[in-house]
Amino acid sequence: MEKKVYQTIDYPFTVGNAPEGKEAVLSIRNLSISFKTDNGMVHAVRGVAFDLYKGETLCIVGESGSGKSVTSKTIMGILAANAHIDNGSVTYEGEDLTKIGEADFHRIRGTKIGMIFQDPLSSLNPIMKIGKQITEVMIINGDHLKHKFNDVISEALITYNNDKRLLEIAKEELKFVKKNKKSTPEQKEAAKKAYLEEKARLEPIIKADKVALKDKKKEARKVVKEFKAEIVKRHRELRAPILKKMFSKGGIAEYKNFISERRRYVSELRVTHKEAKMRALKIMKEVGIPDPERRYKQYPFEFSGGMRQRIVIAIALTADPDILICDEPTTALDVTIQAQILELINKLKAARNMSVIFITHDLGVVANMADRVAVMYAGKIVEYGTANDVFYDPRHPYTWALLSSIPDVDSKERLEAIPGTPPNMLFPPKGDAFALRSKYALGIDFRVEPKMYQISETHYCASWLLDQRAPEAEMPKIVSTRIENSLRKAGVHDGK
Amino acid sequence: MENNEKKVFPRPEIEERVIPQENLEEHEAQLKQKLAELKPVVAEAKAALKEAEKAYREALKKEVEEGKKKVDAALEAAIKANNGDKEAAKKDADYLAECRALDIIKHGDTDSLTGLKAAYKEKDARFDEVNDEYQSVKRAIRYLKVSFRQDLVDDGVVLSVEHLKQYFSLGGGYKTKAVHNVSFQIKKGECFGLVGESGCGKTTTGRCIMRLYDVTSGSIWYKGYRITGGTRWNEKEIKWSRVHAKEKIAYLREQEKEEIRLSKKSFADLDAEIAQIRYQERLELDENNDPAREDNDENVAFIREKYAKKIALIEERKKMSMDAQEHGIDEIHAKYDKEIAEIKAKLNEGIQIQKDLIRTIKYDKKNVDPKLASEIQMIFQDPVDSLDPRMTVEEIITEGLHIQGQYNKAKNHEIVVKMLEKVGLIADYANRFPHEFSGGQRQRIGIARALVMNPQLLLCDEPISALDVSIRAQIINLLNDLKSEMGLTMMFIAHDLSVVKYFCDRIAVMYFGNLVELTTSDELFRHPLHPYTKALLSAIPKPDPLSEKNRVRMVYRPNEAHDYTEQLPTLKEILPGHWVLCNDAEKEKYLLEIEELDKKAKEGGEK
Repeated sequence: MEKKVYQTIDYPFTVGNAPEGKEAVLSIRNLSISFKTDNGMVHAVRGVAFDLYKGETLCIVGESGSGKSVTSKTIMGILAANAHIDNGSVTYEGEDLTKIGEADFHRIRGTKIGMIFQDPLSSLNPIMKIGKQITEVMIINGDHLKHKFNDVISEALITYNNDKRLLEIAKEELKFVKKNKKSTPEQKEAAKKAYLEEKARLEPIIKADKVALKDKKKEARKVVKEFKAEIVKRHRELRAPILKKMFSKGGIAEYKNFISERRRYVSELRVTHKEAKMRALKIMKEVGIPDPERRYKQYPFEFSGGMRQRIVIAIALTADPDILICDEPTTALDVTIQAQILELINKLKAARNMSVIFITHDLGVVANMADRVAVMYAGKIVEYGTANDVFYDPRHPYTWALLSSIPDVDSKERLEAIPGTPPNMLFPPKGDAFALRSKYALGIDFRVEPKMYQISETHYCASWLLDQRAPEAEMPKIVSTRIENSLRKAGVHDGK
Repeated sequence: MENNEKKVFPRPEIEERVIPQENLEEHEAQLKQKLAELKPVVAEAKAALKEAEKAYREALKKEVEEGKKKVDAALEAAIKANNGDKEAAKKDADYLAECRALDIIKHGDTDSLTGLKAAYKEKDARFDEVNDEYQSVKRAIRYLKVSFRQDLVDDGVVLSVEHLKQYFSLGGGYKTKAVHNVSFQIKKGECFGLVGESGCGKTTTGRCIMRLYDVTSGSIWYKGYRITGGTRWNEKEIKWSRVHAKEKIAYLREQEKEEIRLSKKSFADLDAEIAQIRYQERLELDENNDPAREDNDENVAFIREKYAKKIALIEERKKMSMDAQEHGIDEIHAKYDKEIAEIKAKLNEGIQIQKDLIRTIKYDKKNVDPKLASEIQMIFQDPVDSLDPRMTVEEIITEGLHIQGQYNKAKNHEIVVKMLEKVGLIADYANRFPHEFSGGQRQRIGIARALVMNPQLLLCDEPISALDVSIRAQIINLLNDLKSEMGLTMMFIAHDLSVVKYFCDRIAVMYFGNLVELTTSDELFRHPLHPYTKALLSAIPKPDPLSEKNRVRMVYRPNEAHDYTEQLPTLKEILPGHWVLCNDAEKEKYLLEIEELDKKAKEGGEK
C-alpha cells in the first residue's frame, strides 16, 4: 500500500488555518522559556504554538516537567524570577503579553485572564474569612472613575508601551553582543550600528507616542471630571429636598432617605462592600456552595477539599474573565468530587462563553473536558487536534504510550509502561525528545527534529513516522482494541 | 471440589512457628520443662560469671595499686634527680615507662592477668548465650498462650478483620469515628481492594492492620493469631448490661410493691363492710331505741347481739385472710427476690465473661510474636515523605533487618542488592540518597524496603496516586509481577476504581467508616447495587471522549437514598459472595435490580 503523503507546516510560527467560524482569543507562537539555575539553563519550553478559540476548552496533557504549567504561567505573567523568555509571543487583544511590564499586567491578570491552581488550600489565605477573600479583588478593582480613565487612554498606552519595549529589546541585544566574549569587534560594531539605526528610527515615534499619550491623558482627565461632576450634580439635586425636610420640624424621619441617597451616590463612584457582598453571594451560589450566607463568614479550614476548590473558582470568576486557566484543579481531589468540579467548570464555560485552558495529566479528565487537545513532551507540543482526533486516531508514539499506560475498566491485559524517565531539560535531547523511550524510534529521530505534519484540517502531529519515507508503524494493540471497543459502543463505525 | 479450593488457597506455610493447637498443653509442658532445666544452668553460669569477674577485678585492683606505688616512687626519684623541678621530672624516661606499664595493667594485659581476663570473657559469653536461650523459651511460652483460631487457618484466611472500630479523641469528650464497623477476610494469594472517597477511613483501616494505632474495638487475626484488638465494645457491654440489669431490678421491685398493695386492698374492703354494719346498727338503734317502752333494754340488747354476731363473722374472716395474706406477702417477696437474684447472677456471669475477654485481648495485644508481625508490610502513598532524606538507600532498606537483629554487613548488602534488582533498580544506587531519585524510583525503593522483610501480606496505601502518568504503569506492572512471583497476598487501598478493578480480585467499598459493598471485582462492575457504589462508578473518568460526553453522573445522598426508619441496615449476602449493607426491604429491591441488569446485559450481548 502506498503511504499517504502528509503536508507539513512551518510549525512554531503558524498553527495552520483556524477552523471555520472560530475566532482565536489567545495565540501563542514559538514560545521558548528557560530557567536559570546553578547547574545551567533549564529549557522548560522549547517552541510552543497554539491558538485558543472563543468558547472552547484546550487541554494540555503531559507528564510533570513537560512544560505545561510554565506555558500557562507565562500567559498569566507569574513566572518565577529566574525564568527567562527566550523567544516567542503570546498575543491577547493585540498585545504581546511577553513584552509588557508588571504594571500593565495588572489590567489583564485576574480581570481578563483568571487562573485556578492545583492545591486549593495553599491558594487561599488561612487567616482570612472566605467572604473577604472573594470580595477583596472586587473592591480593589472597583473604582469606576479609574476604569473610565483607563478606558480612554488604553489604546495610546499600548502603542506607547509596545514601541518603548522595542527599543529596550534592541538595547538588550546590543548588550548581549557586547558581553559575549566570542563576538568579534566587527560584530560589535555592526550591532552598535544596528542599535543606533533602530534608535534613530524609534525615538521620534516614541516621542510622538508620548505626546499622544499626554494628550489622551488630558482628555481622559477631562472626561472623568465631567463624569464625576455630573454624578455630584445629580446627588446634590436629589439631596437638596431631603435636607430641607430633614432640618424642618420632625424631619429626623428623613434621615433614612438621606443615608440611602448617600449610598447610591457612593456606589456610582466605586463598588461598595454591600454590592461586592451581593455579587459574591451570587457567584458562590453559581459555583454550587449551599447556604452561601453562612459560608460567607467562615474560614478556609472549615471547608472540604471540593468546596475549597469551588471557592477558588468563585474568586477567579468574580472579575468575569474571558480566559480561565485551570492548572490541574482536580489532582488533589478524589473521583466523586473531581466529577463535580469538572461538571461545574463545563457549566460555567457554557454559561459565560469563556475559553478554558485545562492542564492535566489525567487522560480521563481530558476526554471529559476537551474540545481540543495538545499533547506536550519535553517542552514541545507533539500532537495537536480535537479530542476525537487525538483519542480515536492518535499518531505520535508518545500519545500511544500515554493511552496504553492507564488501566482500563473494561480490560485486564498487561499495561505497556513507558520505560525510563523524562529527559533532563538542562541538556534537551537532539531530534525527537521521546525517541530515547520509544520503541518506534527511527535513526533520524536522534538527529533531526521532526516536522509538524498535518493529518487533517484540525489534526497535527510531529513525528518522523508520518513521513513518506518512514516505515509503516502500527499503534500498540492495547490502544487499537480499546479505540475499536469504544467506537463500537458509541455506535460509530470506523471509516477505515 | 474441596481439593480444588485448597489449591486456590493453599494453607499458609508457617509450619516452623505454628504449634498444633491440640498439643498445646503438651507443648507448654515441654517448654516449661525446658525452662526448668535451663534455670539452674543459667544460675550456674551467672554464679560462674560473678566468680570469674570477682577474681579478675580483685587481681586487677591489687596490681593497679602496686603499679601506682611504683609510679609515685619513680616520680619522687625523678624530682630528686631534677632538683625539685616537677615539669622536667614528668619527662623522665623511667617515670614514663612506669606510667606506660600502669596503663597496660589497667587494661588487664599483663602476663598474670591475661588468664583471668580470658576466663572472665569466656564466662560472660557463656552466660549471654544461656540467658538468651532462657529468655527465648520464656517468650515462647508467652506467645503460646495468644488466642488462636484453627477455623481461620482451615479456611485459608490470612487476615481477618472483625468488627473493627477506630475512634480518635478530639478532646472534650468528642470523638472522630474514623472506622465504625468494618469486617472482612483476605484469603491466601488474594488481592483485596479497599475503595472509597477521601476521609472514609480506608487508610485508617490499613494502619490498624499495621498496628500503628491502638485499636478501639474489634479484633484483627493474622494466620489465626490475634495480632491486635480493642476492648471498647466489651467495656460498653459490661456498662450497659449493668444498666439494663439495674433497670430490670427496679422494675421488678415496683411490680412487687404493686402486688402487695393490691393484696392489702381486701383488708380495706372488709373494714369498710364492718363500718357499714356498724352504721346500719346505729341507724336501727336510733330507730328502735325508745326509753319509754318497757322492753327497750331487751330490744337494744337483741339488736346489738345481732350485729355483734355479724361483725364477729367478718372479723373472723378478716383474721383468717390476714393470716393468709401475711403468708402471701412473704411468698411474693420470696418470688421477686429469687428473680432478682437470678438476674444478678446472670449479670455477674456476663461481666465475668467480658472481663475475661478483655484480659485475653490485652494479653494478645502485648504478646504478638514479632516475627509474625514483620510478615505484614506496607507501601506508603507519598514516595517523597516516606523515605528519610538523611539515610542512604542501603540504610533505608536494611533498617528492618537491623530491627530483626541481622547485623551482618556483607550478608545485608547482598540482600539489598537482590532487592534492588527485584524492583528494577541497579545495585549502584545503594549508596545514594533518596533526593537523587525520581518519583517512580523512590516508590520502587519503598517497595524494596517492604519486600526485604520477606512479607506474606503487603498493604499498598495508594501507591500510585502520587506518581506521574507515565510512571504509574511501571509501578502497576512491577507490583503485578511481584504478586505472581512471590505469591504475595495484597491489600490495595485506593480511591481510583479503575486501578483497583485492574489489580484486585475482590473489592470492598467503604463509606464513612462502614463497608457498604463487598464482592469480587467483576461482580461489582456487573451488578453495582449500593447507591454509593453506583455514584463512585459513574465518576470514573474514561479516556474516551464519546462516552465521556454522554456520561450521567450519579450523586449519592444518604438521606434520600435509604429509608431506615423501620429497620436498620446490616451487611447481607445478596448473591453468593456479594455482600451489601441494606435492610430487608432493600434486599428485595436489589434482587430485582440484579435480574434487570442481567436481562440488559443479555440483550446487549445478543446485539
